[in-house]
Amino acid sequence: MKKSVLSLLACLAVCSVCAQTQKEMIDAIVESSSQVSTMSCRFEQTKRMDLLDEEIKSYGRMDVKMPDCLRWEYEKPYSYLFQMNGHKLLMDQSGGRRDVVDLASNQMFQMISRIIMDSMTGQCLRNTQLFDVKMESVNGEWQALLNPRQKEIRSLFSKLCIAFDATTHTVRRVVMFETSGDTTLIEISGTQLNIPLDEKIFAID
Amino acid sequence: MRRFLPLISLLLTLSSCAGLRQATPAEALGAGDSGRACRYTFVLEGESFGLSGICLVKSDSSQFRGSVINEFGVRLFDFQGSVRTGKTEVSASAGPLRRRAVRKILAQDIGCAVTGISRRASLQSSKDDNVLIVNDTKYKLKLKFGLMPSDNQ
Repeated sequence: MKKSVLSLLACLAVCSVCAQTQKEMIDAIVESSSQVSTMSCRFEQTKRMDLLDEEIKSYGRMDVKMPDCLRWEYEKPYSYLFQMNGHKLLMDQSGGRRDVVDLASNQMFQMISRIIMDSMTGQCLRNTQLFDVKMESVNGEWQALLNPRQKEIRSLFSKLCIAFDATTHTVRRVVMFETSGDTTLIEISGTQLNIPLDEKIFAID
Repeated sequence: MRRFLPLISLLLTLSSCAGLRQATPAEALGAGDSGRACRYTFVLEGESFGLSGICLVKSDSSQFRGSVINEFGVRLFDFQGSVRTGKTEVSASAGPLRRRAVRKILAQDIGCAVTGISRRASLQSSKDDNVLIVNDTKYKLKLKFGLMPSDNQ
């Protein structure tokens, strides 16, 4: 009996340490991400598509200005700019073709872009209404596993995994596991935070 | 004469359907059967909404299949159909695209884009440089497919 009680107490103590560590990691990331006003980085995107049995690799750069400006530029294998400013979206091909779409009534797209932007900056960890977050420390990285709580998000993603640099608390990579079976891996490098970014690069006319 | 009435009406129906066919492969998306997917920018414009992304299409001599993903790579919907008839099915798991009526209309529009076969008189496709436009006047939809540079060169 004594042994059982001691084992139980030991388990509770371990769980309590884990929970505390998780909370500390989440708090540290949330604290760092809340101080981000701009972010620039390079990305390598690998999209695995079940239906087409294809793996697509793309390379480019991303610029973010909080709260809702994003410039997502593919450089290889094709040149393609995708830019968001508020509810306006610009698509610009290098050949000169430009399309501007108003996304005011497209809630699905707004939800996806919000999740991606928040994942890339680490801000999604603080939204506990949207995700159930589990953290662990693996090989010098902090890894977050996000399980969607809302039905609408679950219809798109089964889970998201985000790896953070344990020292700088910046995002290293994001893996999106889609309900369809596809996965998208976004690996980030050369991150620069809070550097001045010209308003003009986000302008949509 | 009465005995042949059903046959005559069937022939008339078939000939009217043939009238709707606009098999213009030169105007269609022309997804090659090289085994790799062709990529297009994709824009769907409705009266009160818009959707955009990248469309990937693969085809062989009888079937085509593809996906539309948004700019971040998240899959919005899939489609597959017959190259010969243009009959297309769309599947989606998220948002308003889950609705059967929406998928049915989208399937007709996508089928017209890929094969050039219009299943309704109110559905027309045209090509301007490397952009294919499908105009669905009945449902006030416009779909634009722009061939992406890497596949264009």
